[in-house]
Amino acid sequence: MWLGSRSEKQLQIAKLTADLSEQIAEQMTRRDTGDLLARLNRLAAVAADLSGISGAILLAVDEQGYPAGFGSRGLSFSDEVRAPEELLKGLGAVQSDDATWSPIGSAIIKANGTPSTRLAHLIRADGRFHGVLLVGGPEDQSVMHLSLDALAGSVPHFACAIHEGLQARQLARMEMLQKLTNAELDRGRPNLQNIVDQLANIFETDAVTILLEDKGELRLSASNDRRLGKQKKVTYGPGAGLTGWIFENGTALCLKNGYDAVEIRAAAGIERAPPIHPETTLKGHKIVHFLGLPMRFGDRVEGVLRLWRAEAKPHFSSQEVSSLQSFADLLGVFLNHSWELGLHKCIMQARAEAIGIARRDRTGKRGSSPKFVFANQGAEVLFARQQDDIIGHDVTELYAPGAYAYVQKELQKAINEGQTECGPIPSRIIRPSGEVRLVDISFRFLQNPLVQPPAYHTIGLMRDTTESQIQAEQHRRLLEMLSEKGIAYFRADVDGKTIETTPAESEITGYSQREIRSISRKKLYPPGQKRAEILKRVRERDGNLVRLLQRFMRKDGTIFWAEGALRLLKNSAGQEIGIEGLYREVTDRILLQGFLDTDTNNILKESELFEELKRNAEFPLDYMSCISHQLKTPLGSLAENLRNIQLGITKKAELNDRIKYIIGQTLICGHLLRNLSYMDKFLRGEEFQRERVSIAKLVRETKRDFMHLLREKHIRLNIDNKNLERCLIVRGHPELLRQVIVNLLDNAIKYSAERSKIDINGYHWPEGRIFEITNKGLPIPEDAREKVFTRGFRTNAAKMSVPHGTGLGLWLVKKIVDTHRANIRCQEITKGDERRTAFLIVFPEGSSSVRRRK
Amino acid sequence: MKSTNRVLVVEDQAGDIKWLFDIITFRGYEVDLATNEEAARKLLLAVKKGKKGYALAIFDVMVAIKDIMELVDVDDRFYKESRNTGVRLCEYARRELRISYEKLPIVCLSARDDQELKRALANLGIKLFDRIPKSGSASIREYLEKNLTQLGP
Repeated sequence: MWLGSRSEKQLQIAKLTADLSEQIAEQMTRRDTGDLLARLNRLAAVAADLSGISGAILLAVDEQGYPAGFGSRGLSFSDEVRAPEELLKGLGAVQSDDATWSPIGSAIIKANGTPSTRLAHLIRADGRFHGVLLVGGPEDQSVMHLSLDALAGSVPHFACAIHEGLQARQLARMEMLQKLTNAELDRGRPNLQNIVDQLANIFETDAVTILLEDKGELRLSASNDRRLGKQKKVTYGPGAGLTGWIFENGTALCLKNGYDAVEIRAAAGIERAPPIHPETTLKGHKIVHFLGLPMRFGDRVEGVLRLWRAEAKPHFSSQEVSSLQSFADLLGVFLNHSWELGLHKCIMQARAEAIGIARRDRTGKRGSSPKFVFANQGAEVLFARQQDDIIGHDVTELYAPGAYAYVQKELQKAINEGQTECGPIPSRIIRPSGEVRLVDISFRFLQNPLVQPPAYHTIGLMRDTTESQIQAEQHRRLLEMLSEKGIAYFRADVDGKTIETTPAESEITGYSQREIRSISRKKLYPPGQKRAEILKRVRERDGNLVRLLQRFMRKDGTIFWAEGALRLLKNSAGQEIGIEGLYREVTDRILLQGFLDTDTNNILKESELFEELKRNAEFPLDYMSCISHQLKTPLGSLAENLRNIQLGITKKAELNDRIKYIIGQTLICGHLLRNLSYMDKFLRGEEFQRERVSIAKLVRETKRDFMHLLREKHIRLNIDNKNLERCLIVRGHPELLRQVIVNLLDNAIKYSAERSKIDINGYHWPEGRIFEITNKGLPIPEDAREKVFTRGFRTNAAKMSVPHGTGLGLWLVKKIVDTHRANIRCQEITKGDERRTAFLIVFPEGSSSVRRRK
Repeated sequence: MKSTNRVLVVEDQAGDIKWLFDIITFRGYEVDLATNEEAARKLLLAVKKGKKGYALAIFDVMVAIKDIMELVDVDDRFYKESRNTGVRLCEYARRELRISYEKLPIVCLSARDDQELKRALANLGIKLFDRIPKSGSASIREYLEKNLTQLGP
């Protein structure tokens, strides 16, 4: 029964409608961050609160007419309604222009206390369909008559509220998406797991998965369905399933039902088997609404972003599709360089001949070996195979039998230690012909962490060492031989760091092998001498500098001269990669040839050198006539004395004396000849080995050789044996030092007065250890005391008293003394009334007196 | 050879003195030895004066000028080169003192065999013997065996 009059009733309806619109407006003005469903729930509550109405459902529909969500109070869809669109289909009859309440079946609505009346009203406004309002009430509809009329009158308000709600949700989603984008871009490397979780939240989806391209196929990168990929590896080749279709075509695919073969055929033109890797809701429910978006970078598809919604949820709207597509493309751009560029950089930096990249999965079967996924031209040459024939091969197949096991062990060790590279590892590879090549392989490991499970790439930089190993052996042997000759070899990089050195270099420089490798070669140059200048000279000579004579500095700071050759090392591209050189020390030779000014350690200037050379050239002529005379005299005398003995001319009483004399003279001849031979060796730059030498012993031995001459002139030779032994154990060349004593003693005897004394002493003095020989006889004038060491110089008195003389003896003495880092000088000393001529050799104190030598 | 049984030897090399001494004494002669130019000049002067007489004089071409101890304080102004002491002695005997061959036969002994030396001695008519004679050429040993015949074999 209707209550009151029509006008009164209309008034009541109008009042109720006004109240209702006020309440709806109040819900609209509440700021609720775009939560559409909360808003719909509240709107449903407004309807359900009206008198006579037991419950309400407000279903919102988006611009395409797809359900966008619903809110309810005291009323719900029956379990049989799995999706609002089915309801809409069921409402087909009411979808007319008649804006009236229509009864609907009990199959759709479920209510607390089972409502007997179920009515639906379409919400239309401005020629558009915005949704449906469903209400439930008692069997007697009259109790809710007023309410139904008021609700019907409020339809435009509901339409407005739904429209506003959808827009607010869209805006809120865009805002969140933007925040997510900013946050992930700022991170540098995107956290894909976070992205899928956030997307699932923002877009109220049940499954979000990102798959990325890796070597031509899509691989699982991140999914909010944590079960995905646990059972089997998630990969899609181009065209495989819906995801593979998107990957291949670079087009988005939006499906109401991803299981609906008909819809799929219509949208993508493909026959689709059941999903390859189906996702489910967290509760394990089937999910049907599908949106797949290509992550594009130009023509390339870097990956696919895939979203699913459960049946009971709304379709993906066109707005969602467009905003998510923008996001997917952004992600594609962003991911593009992070991995590929790194890989290419790695290859570009490699300077090896052959590059092969092998890939393996850590989850791969135990014992499975990596496969080649890349090979450059160098690898083609090395393996004697085409690229296609390398790529795809198990790496073990290209190693010589048994060779890979060792490489694998080394690789595993490096990986376990967390190394990013290892090697070079010597190994053997095999060519199709069966030929085995020796190689050195350096490895770098790259992990692509963006795909699940991470792909491990092993980049092998391979160098063919078959030829070079033979060369290396030759090189090693050559260096050994050079070392024996005292020739040092080194190889250094562009920064002057020594890469290779030989023991000879340690001998010369005083640095240990390790020290040479650790110091810069600049340190071998004395102050004021720049290595860069030498390198410049080498470059100016086309990278080859031979017969370089150069000063260098030992570890102890002393200077030495070296003669050698330098050569720049270049790679195949002509780039300078280092320098190598051979050298030997020639300080002694330069000293002996008189080319070196010992005060400054500098080689004589050109003009000085010229004078020196001129003297050298003239010297042998004079010298040879002197020497032939000097030899002929004693030899003639020896022959005649011997003949006398042979013929019995010598008296028997004299025989013993004669023979002693003959033996003595023979030895003197030997010493004389030795002067010649040492001079020759010095001038040719021959090296002398050094050892511990007792000067006292040399003096005693020399005295024996000179006994006959001492006796002849009745000269006494006093040797201070004790002090010589104490002070004068030196490192040096024994035969050279013997020659020093021979020449000094020979002179002392020659220029001594008969029946005089010669003294040989040794003592310590502040300036060093001193060897002293003094005699009484022909004095040496003060102005001649330095000149006596010049080659060919003799004092006038000497020439007058001893016609046979060469001027060589003291010169050679000085040269030998110099090479022992000692000094010699001549002076006059007075003992009582006696003026004596003294020659003093000063050996520096300590072991440093003689340089380290073999 | 003169009837005297002495031979003058000017030589400063001990080895040469020994073998010359052996040969000369073996042949029954005695030796007067001068080991430097100065000493030899004195003996030559004595010959000129008739105080000494020698069957033969043997000069080494290169001997010291003086005894060492006399050279200790010698002034450079008095420097004399010692390369040709023997030649100087021959000139002194023949040209300065005018000691004839008949009065004193002189021979020289040297390791030098240069033309300058040979010519200088040839001009004075004095024989030069090489210390180590070439095969087939005359040696001073043969000369002495032939000429010192007083007591020799």
